[in-house]
Amino acid sequence: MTVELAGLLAMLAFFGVGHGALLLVSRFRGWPERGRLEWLVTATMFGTALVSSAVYGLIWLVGPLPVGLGAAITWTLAVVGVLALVQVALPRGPRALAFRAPRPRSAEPRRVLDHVLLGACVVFALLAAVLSAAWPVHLFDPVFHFAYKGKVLFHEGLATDAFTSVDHVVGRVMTHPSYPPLVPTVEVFASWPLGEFSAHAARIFCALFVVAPAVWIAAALEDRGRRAQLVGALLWLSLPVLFYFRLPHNDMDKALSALLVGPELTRSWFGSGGLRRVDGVTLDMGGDLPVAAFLCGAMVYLARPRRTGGDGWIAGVLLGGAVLAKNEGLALAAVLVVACVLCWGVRRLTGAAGAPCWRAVGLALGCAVALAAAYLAFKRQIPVIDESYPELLKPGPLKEALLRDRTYRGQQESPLVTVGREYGATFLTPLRWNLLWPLFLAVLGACLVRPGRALARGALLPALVTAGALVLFFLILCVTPWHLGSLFNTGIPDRLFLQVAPLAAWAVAAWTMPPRDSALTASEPEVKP
Amino acid sequence: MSPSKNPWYWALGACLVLGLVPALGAFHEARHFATTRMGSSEAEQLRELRLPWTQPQFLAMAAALGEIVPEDAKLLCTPVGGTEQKGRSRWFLFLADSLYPRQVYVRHPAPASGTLMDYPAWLEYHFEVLGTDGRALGFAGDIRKEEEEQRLAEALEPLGIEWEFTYRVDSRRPFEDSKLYHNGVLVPLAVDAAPMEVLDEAEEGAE
Repeated sequence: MTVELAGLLAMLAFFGVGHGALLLVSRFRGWPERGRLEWLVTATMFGTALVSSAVYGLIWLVGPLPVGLGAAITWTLAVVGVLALVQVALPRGPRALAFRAPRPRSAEPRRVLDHVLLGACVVFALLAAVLSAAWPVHLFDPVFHFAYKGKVLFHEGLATDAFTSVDHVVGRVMTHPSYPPLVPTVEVFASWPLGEFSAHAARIFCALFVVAPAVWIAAALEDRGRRAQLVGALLWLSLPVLFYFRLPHNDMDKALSALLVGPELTRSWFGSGGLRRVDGVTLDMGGDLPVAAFLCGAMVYLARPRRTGGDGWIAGVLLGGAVLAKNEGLALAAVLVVACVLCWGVRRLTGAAGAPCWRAVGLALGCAVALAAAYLAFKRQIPVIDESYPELLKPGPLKEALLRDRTYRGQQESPLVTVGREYGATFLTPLRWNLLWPLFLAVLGACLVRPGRALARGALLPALVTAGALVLFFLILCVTPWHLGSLFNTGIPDRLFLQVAPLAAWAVAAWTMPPRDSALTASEPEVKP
Repeated sequence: MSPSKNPWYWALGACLVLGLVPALGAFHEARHFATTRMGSSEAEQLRELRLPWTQPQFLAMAAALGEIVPEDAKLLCTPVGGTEQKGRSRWFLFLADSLYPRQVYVRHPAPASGTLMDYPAWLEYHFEVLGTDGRALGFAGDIRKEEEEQRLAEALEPLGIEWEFTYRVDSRRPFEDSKLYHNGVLVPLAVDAAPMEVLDEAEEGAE
């Protein structure tokens, strides 16, 4: 069996589990006239978070699963996934769902521009799928932070000194032993049918993590019409960092040329000096893209215009996925709570509708913690050996770090200046970020000036979470024990920004393309019993 | 306001037009994959990348070690010379991954497992405290070394580590003087001593 087929089997299995779990939620709480594509993506991501958590918990309790048993689980669930696909493909779909119900925009005529935008979305999704399979997992973080943990989980489980002996006099080496397990467990699950561990089997999930936020941004803009949905999705899908971090040349003109006309022509025009392969950690199975995808999904189900009582559950599982994907997931969940509180304050002050329901937020947090419980419990046994940001961000150490000058490129300067300058440079690099960040900053300013209007347009929550995350990352970079020069060589802060980039795209789209039918936005969440 | 007069729409339009750049860049990369690498094995593809852990010389050394050291064995990695402190010389880390399921151990693993900022401290410990590079430590240094070796011996004994691999902290010729010991006895090891060609660290996207 090829690694690609194993990855597809795992994806089918996750879809099968997610489909079943979502049907259960929908049977009791409803699924109001949403699209099939949204169902497919949400169910697969839902299943990914659920199964990862379950596999981790199982390995923690009983040790590494025999490969035969693991393969049987993957195959069985993949068959369930095929049956689920058939059920979704049926004209009426599952009985609990309402795929065929008329949607507000169905009468809207489809124009040429809509076809072009839709075609562009499909092209970007296909490119993400091809490039996610184009190289085996190879960069440092995906190999050593994640895939190595997958190997250990696959062969030894958690009852091993691999995770816990890193502070002994003599012990095993593992980089960031306390990193969350979503990526490694997905790799383990996808490897079972192969009979041996292969991180490459799970790379196809990178394509899912690219497509999912696009579908969810479109879902969040469901009251704006088809074109707004497509533009919102494209704002995310057309981000260069999804496809590469490392530009093909240090000189911007040659880099632009290589991107536009390809390396061969560029070489014939400028010579081959300095030209290199584009590369990036996004589609190489690192942790930042899954965080971005899961966080975006969780927030869409908390804040979309038409909600049901089940959306809190869906948001919770997806938020749990973000917590399990990378350390920042937990911090971003905290930022989300603060942003929700601010939204409730704005609602109280302005009377604008559109804030998330507090019960749904509470439910989502509870679900997320429950999903991550096994990991959070095991994490307590893992010694802290390097970056301990919760400690460093306490008032005392934070104040000390902010006031102390640090060496950067041979000069002593405040970390506020160094990090601020790097933020500015990152915001203004269109070859990596398109115009997303300048647009987002403009939208953020507008949201802060008119918070009531921003809340009614559905832009306030994603804008506040993005802004909160940017501030948090800024402080983290100010207190980090790393030499900032070395850190900026590793794709920071771009990799951090990637985690909230879908939210920034959503905020931009939501503010710039307000709902046509104000009644839809103004309506309170429709909660079905 | 009509769409043509709305500045937000112009900005969104510019964003979408600029989206052509990554689309074309990704297309060229996909075309390169389809025309040159599709169908080749993972090992063949990785060899093209010139990363320290995908270099042919490193993979040859890992394969040579893998043939001698049993899969259920524990291997202690020791740096014995060299001056490089960059991340690409963390051969113990790359071996831990390549030699798996053999378990790779090191002395003082916390700075070895930590970020690049901690790595120089790990090297200092080996060279300036244990003198694994053969340097003279002086009277006080010898006493400290003796105490440290005593502590290490106590920690090593219950682990049952029988194998030790020594290498130079060098990203170009790390295995030139490499040695493999089994219970302190030298085991012959075939070494590919050709210098490696590696990318700059910033280009590797390495940690």
